[in-house]
Amino acid sequence: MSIIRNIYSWLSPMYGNELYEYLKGNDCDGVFIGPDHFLTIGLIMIGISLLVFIAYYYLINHPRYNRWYHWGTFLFLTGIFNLFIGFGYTYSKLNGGNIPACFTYSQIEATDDGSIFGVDGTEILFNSNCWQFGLANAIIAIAFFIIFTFAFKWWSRNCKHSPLF
Amino acid sequence: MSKLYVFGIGGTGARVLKSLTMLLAAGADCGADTIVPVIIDRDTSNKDLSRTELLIEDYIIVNEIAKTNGKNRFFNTKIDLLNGELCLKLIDNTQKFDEFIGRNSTMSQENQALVDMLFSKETLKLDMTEGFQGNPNIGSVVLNQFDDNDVFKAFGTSFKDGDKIIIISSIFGGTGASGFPLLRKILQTPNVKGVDGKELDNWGLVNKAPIGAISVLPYFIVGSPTDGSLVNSDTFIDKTRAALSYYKTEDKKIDTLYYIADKLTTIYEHHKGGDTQKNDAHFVELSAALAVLDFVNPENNSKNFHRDTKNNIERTTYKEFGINANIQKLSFNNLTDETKRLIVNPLSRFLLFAKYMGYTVVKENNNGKEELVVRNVENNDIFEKEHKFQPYAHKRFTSDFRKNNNIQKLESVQEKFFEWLLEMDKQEHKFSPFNLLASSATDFIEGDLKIVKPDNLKYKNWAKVDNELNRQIHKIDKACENDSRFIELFYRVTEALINYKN
Repeated sequence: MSIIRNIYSWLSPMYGNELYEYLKGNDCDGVFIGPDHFLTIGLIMIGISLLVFIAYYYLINHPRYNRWYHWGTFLFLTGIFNLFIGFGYTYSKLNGGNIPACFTYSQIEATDDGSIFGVDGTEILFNSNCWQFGLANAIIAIAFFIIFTFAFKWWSRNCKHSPLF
Repeated sequence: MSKLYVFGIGGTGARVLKSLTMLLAAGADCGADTIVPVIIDRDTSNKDLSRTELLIEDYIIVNEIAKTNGKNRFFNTKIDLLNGELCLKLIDNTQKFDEFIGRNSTMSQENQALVDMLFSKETLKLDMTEGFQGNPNIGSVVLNQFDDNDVFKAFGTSFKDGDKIIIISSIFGGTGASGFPLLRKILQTPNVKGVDGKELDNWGLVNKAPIGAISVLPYFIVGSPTDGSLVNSDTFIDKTRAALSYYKTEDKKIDTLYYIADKLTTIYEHHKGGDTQKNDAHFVELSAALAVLDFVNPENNSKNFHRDTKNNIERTTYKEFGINANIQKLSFNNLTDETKRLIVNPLSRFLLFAKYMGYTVVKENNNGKEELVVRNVENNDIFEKEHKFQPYAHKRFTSDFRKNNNIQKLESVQEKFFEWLLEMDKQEHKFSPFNLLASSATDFIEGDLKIVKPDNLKYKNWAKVDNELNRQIHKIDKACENDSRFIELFYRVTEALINYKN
């Protein structure tokens, strides 16, 4: 499953290295402690792309929806679903306090009892990073949708020549 | 491979042959492998004849691509022409009847006086180039020259054991009423010789061949004459009565004699002949065409043929055509189960095919008058709109496909088929099984016959047809040529979508 992680790593400049390290499952010292969030998000992303692909080519499979713009609509839907799933997942982690302070602040301090906290005003991970991650997730999902299209569309009765007739 | 030789005499013969060709184009079951039509008419410029001729020419071309070795039944029955000709042209250069009989050239004074007693002045001066204008007494003289004709000789040469003959004629006209008994007599005269003195080939087989006849009684009248015509529809019934009493002598000389008639008569414009004699198609002609199919149906052999051990006709079977209700506008509901089984599926399937290709009936304004005409309408042309997107057409039926001569002939027949249905719909006694103005793929059959596969949640209207086209294309032999594959595909699709059973 490092393949999935590698794919997300190509777009890490888009959503930030800190978020990348967290989602990879690393601790503040760069050691893998799990869980591998990319695996979870990646499998959901592939699953949704595949479902939308199957819906278009094999469930709906309609002779009036086999133009390139119909395919484009389903491509767009794949992207939109995965945009919100990517955003929602990371947003819930960020705002739920699940992401360690070392990833969310540039300056951290330790309390007397040893717990770490971030210094206000030094935030480096924002909601916008979650949107950016959502966008990266959407882009990867679109890529998978295109791969599924050209690999598996040939058995579709009505849409096998969509989008390129 | 059995053949049926169909002799159509006069305008009615030509129109019945046209209806028969339409039924065969639609894939109606025919008990003969090959139909050989021959039209006998002195009036070779008759528009009804030329319409039938053009239709049969197109049919023959399309039949070549209809041999798919698959399920296809459209254009399935072969139509062959004798010597490549449809019309048995009667040879002579004379124009007027008195010239033909040589009244002024070869007759003695006594014979001239006899002729003057038998025929009126108008009859003697009749210009026969446009037919006999309702005078069977002239026809019976002029038509007595079949045996000198090349087409007739070709008929003898091609005739084989097992082939059948049927003669179609009207009983109230000039050519048909006189032609039928004459032709029957020649066909059953032994040792008929040509001008060269040689006996016509296979004439023994012809003499003993199964033979039927269809006699069409008056089903239309004509308006007042405008071109010096002698045709008078007031005399139709009297002529019919006279001919029927003569036809009693045909008993035991014909295996099956069909009488087709209609009490509800249409009024046609009065044209004595030539290219203005163009009568709209009528349900009576379709009924007569069904009589042809009844004659060759092997299941009817025990009813149609009664021969003794020496192959002589023991008795003649007389048949009429009936419908279930005497109403002005007929749909499939008003036909008997037997007739429905014959024509509901073929006509409906072929019509669906023609509609998919864009043919429909539209209202047009012609000199201030609204008329219904058949046109190929771009908006209704589903093939043109969809072939760029549908898998069934991909790399097979491209934009250039319709320029193929075979496909153009196919579409020509489709257009004529629509016109034929429209003409029958416009008659006084209408045959209107379809709503010809409907643009939908499913709601075009009138009445409560639910034979089109219903729409489901997913596929409606023409999308249902395209879905079926995309499904069926893979079942067709890949070795088929493209145009044959096209016909096979549309037959399979229309068969899957329209299936009447009773």
